[in-house]
Amino acid sequence: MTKSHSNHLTWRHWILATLVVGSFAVVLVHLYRVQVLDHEQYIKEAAITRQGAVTVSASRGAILDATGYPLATSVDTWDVYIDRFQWRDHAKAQQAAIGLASFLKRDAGQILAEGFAQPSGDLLLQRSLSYDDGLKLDKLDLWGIRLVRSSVRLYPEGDLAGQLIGYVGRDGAGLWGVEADFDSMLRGKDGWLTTERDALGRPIAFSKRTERPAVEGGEVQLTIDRFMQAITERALESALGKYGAKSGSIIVMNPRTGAVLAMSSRPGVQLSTVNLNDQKLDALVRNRAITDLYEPGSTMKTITAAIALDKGLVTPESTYVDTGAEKIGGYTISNWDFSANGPTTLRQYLQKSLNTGSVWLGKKMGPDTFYQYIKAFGFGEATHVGLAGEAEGQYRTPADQNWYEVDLATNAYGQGIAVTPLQMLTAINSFANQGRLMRPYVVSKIVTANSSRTFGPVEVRQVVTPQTAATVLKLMNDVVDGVDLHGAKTPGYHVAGKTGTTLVSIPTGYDLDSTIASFAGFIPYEDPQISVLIKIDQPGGGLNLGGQVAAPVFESVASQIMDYLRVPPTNPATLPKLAGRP
Amino acid sequence: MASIPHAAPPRVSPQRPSAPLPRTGQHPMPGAVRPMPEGWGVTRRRISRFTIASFALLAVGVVGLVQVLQTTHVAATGYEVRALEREQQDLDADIRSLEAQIASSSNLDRIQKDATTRLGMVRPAQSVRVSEDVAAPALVPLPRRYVPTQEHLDPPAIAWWERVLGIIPGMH
Repeated sequence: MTKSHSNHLTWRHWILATLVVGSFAVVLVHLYRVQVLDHEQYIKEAAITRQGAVTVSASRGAILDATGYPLATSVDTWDVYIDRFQWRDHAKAQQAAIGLASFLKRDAGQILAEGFAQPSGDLLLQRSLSYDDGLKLDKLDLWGIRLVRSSVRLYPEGDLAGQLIGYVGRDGAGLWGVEADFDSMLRGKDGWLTTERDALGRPIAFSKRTERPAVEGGEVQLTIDRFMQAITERALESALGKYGAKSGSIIVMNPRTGAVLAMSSRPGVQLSTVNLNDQKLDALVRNRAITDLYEPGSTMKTITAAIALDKGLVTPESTYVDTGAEKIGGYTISNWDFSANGPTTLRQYLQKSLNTGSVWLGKKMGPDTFYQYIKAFGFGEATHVGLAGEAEGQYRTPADQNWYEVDLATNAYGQGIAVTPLQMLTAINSFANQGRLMRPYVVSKIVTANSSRTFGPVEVRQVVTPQTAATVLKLMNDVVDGVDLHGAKTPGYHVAGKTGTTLVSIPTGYDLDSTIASFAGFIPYEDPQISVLIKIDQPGGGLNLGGQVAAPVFESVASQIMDYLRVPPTNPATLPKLAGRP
Repeated sequence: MASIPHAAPPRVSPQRPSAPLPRTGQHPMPGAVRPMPEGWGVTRRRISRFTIASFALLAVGVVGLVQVLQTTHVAATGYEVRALEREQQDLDADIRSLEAQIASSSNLDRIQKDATTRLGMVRPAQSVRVSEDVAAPALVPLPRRYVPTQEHLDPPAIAWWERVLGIIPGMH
């Protein structure tokens, strides 16, 4: 008799059945978790795997000069990356390295070593490969080599106006100057593109595609004229070398509109070789024309004279007796050359730049009137030229506890008051503009993808009457044309101007061996086309006065700019005659 | 004068046999012949199942072929669009590069260097100004294309069918 086992389940069957059912249960639970509980998350992950997003870089806009020439512009380049994941295949990596080495003129072994040294991710092998070279490299289709579009900033005029234009970091953000101040307009807006990809990561051409186009960066046009900028920079460098000066600034403006035509400072920065780790970079990139304060010295006497004239306290022929020194508040104020000139007119006061004359005018007008006008001329507040880092200036008033009577006298000849070169020239410009103070501006136009803004002259206030302005302008003309061998005399033109020499202030008082030589003036006097301020810091070699150092620089700059602007001579008699010509 | 409308004749439904007759027209009873209504007795041509199936297959094939052609066309167009976009990017890059080259070529230092070294020019020791009765030509700085002009393009006209589609809810 045979024993049947067909309907009898042994413990082995039960174990097997339990294992099978249990396995299915685990699978089902897992499926439930994947398909139901974490459904959304896996949908997203699948989309990420399937969809590829590419950033479309926006091209940075250009910075243009007044003529439309690009002082800073961007060109497209490529960054070359090694895909370390693909370079796991050593044989193919070696071939790619050889191809890359011959293209980039580098050592293949070194490229291979660099690639393998990177544990994972992409290795940036070379930045800013030229666009055409990048296209050629792309055609080689090297294994594991990826090209990413980038751009590089170019400065076609080299280092011209370096402090003003500024610089762009590797991330494309402006670091200083116009590049930083107008970064949001220049930068544009990156776009993106998402496409579905196949198993090899290649975009599927007819798949769903979402795109936000990049918005190109706007263009910023400056009032700076590169020809005038180059003239001022060369003149400044020449002057610093000639007089052994430490630093300096030159500003050229249109006195009627307030447009800044040139603004240069030295020492400057070389944009082509900027070292961002240089400890002295802050000093080099500083736009000294707007950030540095100085005591203007005798150029302030034009302001003092204007206040007295505007209040009707004096006329150009009003006189005082110059004894060579004046006592005020326990202090003695002497003339810069210790001279005593006897009866002196207002005109002579300016021509000889006498400190005692400032004491005389200060006493006549009193502190309230003086400081009221000083404020009206814009001293002690930013000019709002539109550039970051502008200093406001400093001076004490009778409202301050540490103000003394002598301060009025010293302030009246430009000591004890701190101004920026731009403030000084802006104030003096009012004499060539019928007494109207104009706001200086350096940006004339901003054109972005969807807007265009133009900036023009802005009148801040009427500071003095047109008659006063005209009188001061004539007095300034007498300062230059009425003094023989004045350094600012420019052949062919009448010039109006005033020199300034001031001692350099130090924590303990003044450095008697260091001066700041300056000159501010207009040319031609009859119809001023430009105003120029020259400031040379701490000249050495025996010459240290404004008339000796700064005035000749004015003549050099002014004559070149008159030629450039094709301004007809207003004083042809002073032009040199050629032999054989009438 | 108003006319009196005639009463419509009563509608008479056609007589139909209660049971279907053989298509031969023969009466089920031998020897009896029943007249057939008009139109009866015409032999209808039968379409075979094979033909129907063939047509169905052909239709499916045509639809499939159209779909394949359409997909191929879309794919080809997609690749073409991408190629054109790349070409546009390359051309834009070329334009920017050429603009930079033009600007670099008119660099003041470079012009001065060319003037003094290549052309042998020297600074004049003395300059002479000559007054002319005619106005000086306008100063033309180079290059001058960099300030882009704002283009005001009219929006494309909307076709009539787009307006119709716009009216339909959910078709915006």
